[in-house]
Amino acid sequence: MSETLATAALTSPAAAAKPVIVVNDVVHSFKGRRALDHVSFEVRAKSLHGFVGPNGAGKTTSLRIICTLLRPQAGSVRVFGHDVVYDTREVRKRIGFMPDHFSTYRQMTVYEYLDFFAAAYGLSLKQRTQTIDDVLALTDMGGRKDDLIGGLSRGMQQRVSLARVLVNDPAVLLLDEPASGLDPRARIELMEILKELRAMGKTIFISSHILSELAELCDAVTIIDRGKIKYSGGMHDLLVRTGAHPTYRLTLDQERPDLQQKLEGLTGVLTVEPMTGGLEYRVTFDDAVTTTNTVLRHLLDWEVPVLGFAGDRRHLNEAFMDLTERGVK
Amino acid sequence: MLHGIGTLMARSLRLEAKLLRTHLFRLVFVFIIYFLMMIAQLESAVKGAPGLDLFYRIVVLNALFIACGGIGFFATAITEEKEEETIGLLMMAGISPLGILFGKSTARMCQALLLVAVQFPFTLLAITLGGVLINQVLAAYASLLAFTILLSNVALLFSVVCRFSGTAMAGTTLVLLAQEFAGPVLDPLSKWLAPQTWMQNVVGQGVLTVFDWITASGLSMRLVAILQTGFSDRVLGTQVVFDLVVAAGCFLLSWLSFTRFALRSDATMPSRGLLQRRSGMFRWFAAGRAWSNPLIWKDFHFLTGGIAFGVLKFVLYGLILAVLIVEQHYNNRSYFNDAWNTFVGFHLSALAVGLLIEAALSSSRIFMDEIRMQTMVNLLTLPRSIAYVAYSKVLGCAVGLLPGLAWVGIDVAFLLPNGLHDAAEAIVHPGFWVSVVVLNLFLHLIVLLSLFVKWGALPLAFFITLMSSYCCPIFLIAFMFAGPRGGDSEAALIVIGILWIMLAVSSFVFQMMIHARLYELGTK
Repeated sequence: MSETLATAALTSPAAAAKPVIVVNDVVHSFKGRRALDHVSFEVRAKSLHGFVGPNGAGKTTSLRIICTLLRPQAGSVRVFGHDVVYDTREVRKRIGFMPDHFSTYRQMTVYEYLDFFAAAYGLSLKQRTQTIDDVLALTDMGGRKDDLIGGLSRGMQQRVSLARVLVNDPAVLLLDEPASGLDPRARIELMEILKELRAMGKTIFISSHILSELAELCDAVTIIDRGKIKYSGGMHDLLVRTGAHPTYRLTLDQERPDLQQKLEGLTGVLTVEPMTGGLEYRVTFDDAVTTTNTVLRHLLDWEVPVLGFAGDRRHLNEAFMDLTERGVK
Repeated sequence: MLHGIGTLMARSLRLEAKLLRTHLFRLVFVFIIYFLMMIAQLESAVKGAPGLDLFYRIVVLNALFIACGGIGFFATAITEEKEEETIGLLMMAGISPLGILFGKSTARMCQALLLVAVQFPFTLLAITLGGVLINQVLAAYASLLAFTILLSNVALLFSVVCRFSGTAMAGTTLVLLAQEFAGPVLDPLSKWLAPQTWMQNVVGQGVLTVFDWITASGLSMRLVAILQTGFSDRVLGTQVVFDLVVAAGCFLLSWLSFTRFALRSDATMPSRGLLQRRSGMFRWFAAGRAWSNPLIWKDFHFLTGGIAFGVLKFVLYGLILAVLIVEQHYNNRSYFNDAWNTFVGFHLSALAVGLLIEAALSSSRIFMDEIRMQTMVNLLTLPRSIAYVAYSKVLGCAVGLLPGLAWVGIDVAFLLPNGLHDAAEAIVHPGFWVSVVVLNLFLHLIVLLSLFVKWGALPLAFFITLMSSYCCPIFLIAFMFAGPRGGDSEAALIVIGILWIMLAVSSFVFQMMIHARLYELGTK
């Protein structure tokens, strides 16, 4: 893992916002096994921040510390400037935590469940009525409000859990594997709700294994492995390949067997790496000698059917595999 | 099938052997026996042949242990698989219903029998101490063994038929109580029926024979008979044969009904009891909107049954009194004499038992349900302290006791002549405060144990409280110091003071332990 990646600056709009969660040098062990080893990262306001790592990497432990359920053995965690150990109540007022398992009262109706939690957060009867109607509309559960929770599908139950998290209108949502066990439709619908919430100005810190959806949704990501932070920063910085020279991905409409030789003959082009099916090439050039426009102009002159020529971005899966260690040490 | 039985048994035994609590429980058991031996040793100085007393105590310990621990232990054999939705997986793995029944219940029975068997050498010591014969030892152990087999199979049947472990445990308890108390009811009934002319046929005689068997099947009656000096009955008495036959019948029924009940897809569907939904026909009995302290609202409605169940309890408690009043009227007795006091006293006793059962059941579920539904984490992330959450839940359960308490108030204030005066006298008597201390310990113990064991916190707490009261008889000590006149004496006031301190200290210690455990559970 490169140090440059680990300290990359956020480049998304959310980067400009100040951090709402600051995790600083946190250490936590369970029965002698270190779950978090000097963990530090920040979550910016109004961002959708992914939290990724293999099983047992320390994601749930980190989330439980942030949501005040667990006290860190060393280091500090602040949410909106409030310490999670000393200002527990202030932190809890500002967060909504959704654990990685269904934690609902199955014998309650959806409305009773939301009403219970709204009252537990101190909302008046009038406020509760309005808030519950709003969260039911947001999660599209209005038509099922008198149904028993135990009789709902997993996707519906997960929506009820999300609605519960929203009843106190928290500024920060901490979601631990919210899409786990859901079918594709329920997962897509959940992600749509998360997009809406981000548009409403919520900060969302989401732990998930579904990397494709995180890559599409998140402004920033933190990758943790074996209790250590491997990367924390903007999603863009993680996915764009960084190196001494710019790398571009060239996509063709049809194969051109002579293209690699022609490109390698251009001044300033350092490497041309053919990719899948002969329709894609990864081209690296020395930007002190040539430019993107020059390379592109040559391609057009050679009447190459270009479909795309863009900065090479790797997939989050690739980044994840590069940054995390395989197997068990 | 044999492979399936072996696999399930091995898994079950291995899991239990790995649990620290299993060994701790055995250790506690050994300590109690050791304590009983110490008492026997002390008694031997003043009393000849203390072997029978030692043996009596060991047998009582065993009977209590099997009855209290066994209910939770055996009744969850199949329901726990239903609740975890793993029965289908077991059957897909090629294990037949018979294999599952054998594998799940036999392993548990083996563990219970192992614990009983481990004490056999101590009982032989009782023979050495004198006062007990080998015939009595063998008869007692045969009775206990048959009772264990009966209990495990009755519980297995309920475990197959019922949806939830709690229901299975309640059903098993009711059957055991019915069997135990059938004797005192059926014995006079048999004596009354026997000379009737319409009973002098095959059916009538058959009914009387069954009544006799049921009467003889009570474990306590059999043990009392065995422990009499000069016992000379058969080792394998009617109780043993009856228990084994009923146990076999229960196992057969479990097998026959397994496919019908155990594979029900609604095994994990929630039940609201009498609680109605907002839109239902009886919406007066609905939970309605949450109160300003929603934790009280939740536990009152969803744990104690809410308004509908409260009304039902009030009516049922009142019905007991109504029956007594009708009986008074029918016999033309005066409403204001000793008989009336006795009947109102009986009603108060029934209320006390009812309230105790209600409080114990609520205590066992107050946090257990949250743990089972994995909802504790949601409560612990509310902007409230653990103490606030816990005490609010306790208040919610306390609201559920109001129908019973209302009847206590009515009895004392209106129905009992000089009721208020008597109540005031009772409150300044040490006996009242001893009861409060014991009850307080019992309820705290249930709550604490429910945070550690998956099922059976209530019978386990009952067993521990009973054994502790037996080993440390604060009842006797308190009465000894206070004297029979209670509140009139200075000693009584000192004892009450000491009991208050005990009450405060024990409550504080238990609540700290419960708080620590709740925090620990929240972090998991």
